[in-house]
Amino acid sequence: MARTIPSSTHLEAPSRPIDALLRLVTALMAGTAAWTAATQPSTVNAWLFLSWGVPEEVAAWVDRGAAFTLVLAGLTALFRPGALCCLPIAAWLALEALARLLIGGEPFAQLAPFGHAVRFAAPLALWLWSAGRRDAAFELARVAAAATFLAHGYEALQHHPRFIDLLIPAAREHLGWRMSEATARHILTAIGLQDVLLALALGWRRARGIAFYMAAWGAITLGARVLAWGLEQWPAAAIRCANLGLPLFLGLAWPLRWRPGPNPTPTNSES
Amino acid sequence: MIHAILVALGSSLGAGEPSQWRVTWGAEPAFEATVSWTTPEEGSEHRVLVSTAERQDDAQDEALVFEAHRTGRYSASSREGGDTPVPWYHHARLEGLEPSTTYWFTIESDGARSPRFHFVTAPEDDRPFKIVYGGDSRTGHQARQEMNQLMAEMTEEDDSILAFAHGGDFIENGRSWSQWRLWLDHHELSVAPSGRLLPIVPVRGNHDVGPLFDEIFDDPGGAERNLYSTQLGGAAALVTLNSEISTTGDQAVWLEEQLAELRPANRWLLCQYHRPLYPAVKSPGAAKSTWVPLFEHFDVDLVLESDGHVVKRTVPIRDERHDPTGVTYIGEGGLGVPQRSPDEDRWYLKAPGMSGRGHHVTLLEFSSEELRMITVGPPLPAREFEPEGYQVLLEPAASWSYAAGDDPDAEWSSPTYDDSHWPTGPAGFGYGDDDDATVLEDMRGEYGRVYLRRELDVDALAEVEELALMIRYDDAFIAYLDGEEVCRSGVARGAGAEAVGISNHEARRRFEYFPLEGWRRHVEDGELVLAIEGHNKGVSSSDFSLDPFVVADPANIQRREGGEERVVIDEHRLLPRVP
Repeated sequence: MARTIPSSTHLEAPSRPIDALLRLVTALMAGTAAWTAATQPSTVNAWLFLSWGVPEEVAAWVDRGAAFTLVLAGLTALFRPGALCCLPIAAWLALEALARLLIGGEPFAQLAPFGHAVRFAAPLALWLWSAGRRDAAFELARVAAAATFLAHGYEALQHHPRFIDLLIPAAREHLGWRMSEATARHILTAIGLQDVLLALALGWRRARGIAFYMAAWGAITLGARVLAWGLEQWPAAAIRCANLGLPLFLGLAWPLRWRPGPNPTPTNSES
Repeated sequence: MIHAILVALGSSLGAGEPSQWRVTWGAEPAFEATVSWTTPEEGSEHRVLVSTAERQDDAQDEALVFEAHRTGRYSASSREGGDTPVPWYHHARLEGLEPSTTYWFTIESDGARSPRFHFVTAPEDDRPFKIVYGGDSRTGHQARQEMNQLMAEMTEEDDSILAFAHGGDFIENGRSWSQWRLWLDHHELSVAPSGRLLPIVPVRGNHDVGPLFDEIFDDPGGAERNLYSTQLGGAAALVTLNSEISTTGDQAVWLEEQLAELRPANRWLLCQYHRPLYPAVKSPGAAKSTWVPLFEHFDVDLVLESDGHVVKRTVPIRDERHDPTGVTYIGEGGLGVPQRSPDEDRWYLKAPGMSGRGHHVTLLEFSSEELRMITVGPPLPAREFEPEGYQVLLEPAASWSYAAGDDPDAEWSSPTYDDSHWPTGPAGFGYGDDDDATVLEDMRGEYGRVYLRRELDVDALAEVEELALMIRYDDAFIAYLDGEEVCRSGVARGAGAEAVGISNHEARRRFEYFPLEGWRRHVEDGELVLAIEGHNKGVSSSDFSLDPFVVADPANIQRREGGEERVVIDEHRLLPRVP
């Protein structure tokens, strides 16, 4: 008999840990994005001010408005998730990625929409999940996680200078190892290969363990920012919580997504 | 003699003529410098003719000849190539120079020569000298041109200014040849009227990605790496870092070695790079945890930063505290980019530190007693002044005599010149943009200059205090009263067919205000002829406009006069660590 894939109606009721995880990740990203927009010019602000000639005061009001909205939306996402709170968070994070691409001036800025995919996909996944469209939430998270790992894998293979600057200080400060740049580049090549393979493997049906591994790796990469650059870089770590959160969501939701339903839908071969 | 050349590139460039000249300093500017330029075609013979004699006659056609050591085509995307062929760069390394010596040079490509320029080599001894520091010229092209003109004025006024350290972000998209082309055109405005130019000590900024940076500055500090130290004087060194590559790996090792070597031999030790470690707007660069301990360990005196688009000077910093023995950081980029509001609450910007906003450059004065930093901004530009309550002496759309297509003889602006054979028409003159009353339909692709003459009513000037030109123009103009130049905008040097350094300038909706200096002495002979020559940046430009009228005595004249002076934004001094 051919394999069947259950529709969302075949999934069980919301799993609390999964739901809580998505809420936490979304709220934390919203809070961090709000804090960043409130305390320094956001990427969107820079795009409006420098590329479009929007007056600085207007760009600052955009930031303040975004910060206010993000705080409200983040709190709402934590307690009553829905389209009204999740969509604005996703939109702002997507806009940040787009602005980064358009402004340029960062290594691999053209990959920002892919590298940041988990950020704006997480609120969307929460919205879909809480609306009962869990297959869609799962698939969205899977595509986003794969995109982010692919982008980061490519950057690592290209020896992204900031990745080198993560490895060397972290090794020096926490392992007492004065890592050479050549060694860091070798390590990045290995990491890049790993990330690309992980992204590809996510398409495999039995990749639940891989999703957990990706979550652990996401935790390491966000933690490395604080380890390497100090606590003042906490926003850079916190905004990356979806690098951990979305693969973890996949790992937790995997059995629900792939569990055979009681009324399998006939496949073409059976019809 | 200044050779007649065309400055703009692309279709407006004559075959083989060198343009976009610049000089770059590397490790030993007392003994060497690199002269670079652009030609529209590859050519075969490229060289720099150098002499220490000021007059070309005395130089016997230049004493030293330096052949270009590197020639190549600028890396432009196929999309940018378009109808305009991508031009070629050339670099000639001038070696074996003498310290503290003025070198006059002419660039020659296949027989075509540039104007004659000069620069001064760095001192080998401990004599005082100055350099200019600034960064972030990537956007704000009008302000960028004004900053370049400000530097040209400073260079002309002060012989002891030797070089220009640019903190990076020259342009917005480092892979865009058209953006670099415009920057290079604008850079010509920083050449002083005497022909003296400031060698550049360039930093790669985050927007200066791609190969063009190295093609334009001849791989300063090695292609893509761009790390080097410059011995600015007998006891002053500048270490140029690259915040866009890995900052913690090989660069950190190199930095440590450089600082260890340079510190004992120099009274003044400076570092420059793009991304700020003590920013006034953004968050610190990734290099902070690695570079700051090195700066503090080796007692770097001053660090030059950019990227933030503000003015700032930190308190001296050591161990994340205000410490008089610490390192001072200044910046952060004001060579054209729109200025931001700094976060004044950051501890390192509070008094005696400072922060603010405004286009600026910082003059660094090195001596054995002190390192003085004077941050200056440009005077209020004419375009910022909107006259109110003025008297119209020659109305808008008045009829003018004009010459278009051929350059008139040299006396064309004098009151005795017979312009009866010139056609007449109402202002403004030009084509494109649908904003001209007298449309010059044959101008595009054929010629780039238009000449206007008009006699003013002297009787109406009896009670006038200030006479001014109101003008909309694209791209540049020079105005004369009775044959004497009274104001210009967008023309770096020369006039007529010999005008050099034409800037880009779009005609604005409102007219811009230019006082006609010294007009009164021309009235005494009973007639007053106003003559204006308009210049288009390139003959293939999409539009041209020259639309003048004349006014007197605006009611708010005081505001303009109040803004005429160069603005000193900050002044500070450092004392030597070891007296």
